[in-house]
Amino acid sequence: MRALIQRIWQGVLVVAIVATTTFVLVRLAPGDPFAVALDNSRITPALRAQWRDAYGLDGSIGTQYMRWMSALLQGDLGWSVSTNRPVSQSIAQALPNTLVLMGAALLCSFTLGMGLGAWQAARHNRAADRVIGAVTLFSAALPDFWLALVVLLTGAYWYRVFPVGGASDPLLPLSASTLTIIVDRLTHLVLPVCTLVLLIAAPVARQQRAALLDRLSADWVRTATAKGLGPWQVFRRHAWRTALGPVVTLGGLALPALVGGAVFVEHVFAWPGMGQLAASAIAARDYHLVVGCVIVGAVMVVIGSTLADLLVNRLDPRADTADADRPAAGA
Amino acid sequence: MTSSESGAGDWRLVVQRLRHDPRSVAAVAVLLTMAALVLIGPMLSPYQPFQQLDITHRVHAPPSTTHLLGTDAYSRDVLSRVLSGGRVSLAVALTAVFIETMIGVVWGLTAGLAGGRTDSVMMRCVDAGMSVPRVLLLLALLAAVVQVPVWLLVLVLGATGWFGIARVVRAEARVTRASDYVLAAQALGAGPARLALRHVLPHVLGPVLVWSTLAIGQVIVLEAGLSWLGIGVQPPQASWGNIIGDGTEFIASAPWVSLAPGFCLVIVVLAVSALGDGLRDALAPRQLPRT
Repeated sequence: MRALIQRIWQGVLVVAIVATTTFVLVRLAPGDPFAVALDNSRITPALRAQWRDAYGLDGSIGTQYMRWMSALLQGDLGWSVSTNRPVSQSIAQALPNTLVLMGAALLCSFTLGMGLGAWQAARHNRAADRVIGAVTLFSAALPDFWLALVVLLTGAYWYRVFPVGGASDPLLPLSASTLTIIVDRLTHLVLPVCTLVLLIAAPVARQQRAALLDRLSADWVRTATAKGLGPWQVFRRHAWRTALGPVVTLGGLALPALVGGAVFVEHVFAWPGMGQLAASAIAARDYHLVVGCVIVGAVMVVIGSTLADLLVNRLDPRADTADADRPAAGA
Repeated sequence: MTSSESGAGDWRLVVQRLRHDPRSVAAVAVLLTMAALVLIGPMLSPYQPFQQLDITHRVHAPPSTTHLLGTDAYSRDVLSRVLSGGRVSLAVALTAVFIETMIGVVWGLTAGLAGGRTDSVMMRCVDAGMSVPRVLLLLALLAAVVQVPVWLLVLVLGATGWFGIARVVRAEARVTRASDYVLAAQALGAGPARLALRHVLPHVLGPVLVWSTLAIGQVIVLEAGLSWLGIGVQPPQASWGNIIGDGTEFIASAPWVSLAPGFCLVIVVLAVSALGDGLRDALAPRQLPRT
């Protein structure tokens, strides 16, 4: 319990550092939301100052930061200039789409990756192991955005099976039945999820295989075999369960890369999620929205890795709960 | 493993193991071939990478004997662009990885040797850095600049990638710091700089090398991604990423423009990660973190 509180406190600290750094970096960069207006000579300096005042952009970085931070502590992420509504509203609209995409991708890729890894470990050094090993090495090396393009080209142009992009069909009649809507949503999910699965399943499989091979040669596995347990029982109850730890840890550690990769995948498939939102906010120099997106990204990553750590402790009785820095199971 | 002399012997052993690993040998061969191609290729190719050959008749010409990889929307020869873009992509990646390795090693050594409060503050910063998706950080930094110069791109890539290596180096430094020979060196009056460079650094070189090799692959892909989005290497300068970007709009009618540089990317990243794996196995395999 104390470890949990410490972990949460650390997470809050990390998010605070991230928020501060992003705030400063974005403001140090040249250009602001009114850079376009600056080119217009008909707008008087007085009017510009009035705008800056209205949007909380007047005063030094220090005062702006204090004002922004105290608002943030009250749950207010500020006003988004480019979408002309509160940042929290824009995020509330985009976040569910990203969560759906990532959730589906994580579920599919962990199922597939763990299955492949376990199969490889069971057939260690045989043909199946080698072939899958080569395939996972290959697919882990694929650049995310390029893979997305190839998947798009294959699934939506060469074989016109799936829609080109978006999260739903805008031409779907309002009277469409629930089933039609669900099917429509699912067909839009297929290509982006496939792309992410191709990217994520490979490292999962590799980690699962390595961890399983490591556990299968452990003392307690030999003991279990000596006790007279069948090979399947030994595999499932003694080796596989403890070998889940490193895989779950990898899931936690891979989250930043996953969120980053989702930016490109969302861009290619025009998926209306956080990645798209962040990219358009940056292009529009929308400070509050950019910082909001990065904070949400950091919070997602922190929550994910905390959950992963907790899960590892539950899975592997040897993982020391008191060692908050790094779970022993990953060694 | 107590002095740099035995360290040199270890390295000979590592090279020997690498030479007996078919995967590593193949990877090195692929990388050398690619390096030779992008270095010599542009001198041999009959077209200039920026040259618009015939904007009315030779737009999006499919691959043929005159244009091995076809032409793009501006009738430029794709092969010439891929070769010259490869120079840029590889040079950017190598320099950026050099920078991030340097920052990470210095940061990790400092934190690990200092210990106490300094260490914990420095490592919380690393945690924070690792919890922001690097792509978001890069987007935030680069989108503000209208025309990104290549040196800035390299610098920003280097400045955002050192968190992982800092953690690895710090962990190794913590272990080494507690060892007897470091205590002995300290007793003999070695200062912190000497301790770091002569006694701790040789021990972290192995993991650092593996990590940097794997990082090259990541940075090549990142640079390509940024250039593809239009905030990396700026046109008309080619890089693998922005050539893919040029072809994205016409992916259905002229897929060769995007596919050719993409395959180059895949081959190089594959070779780099195979080499990284080979290196990890050739060095003491069980002591290194699996990423």
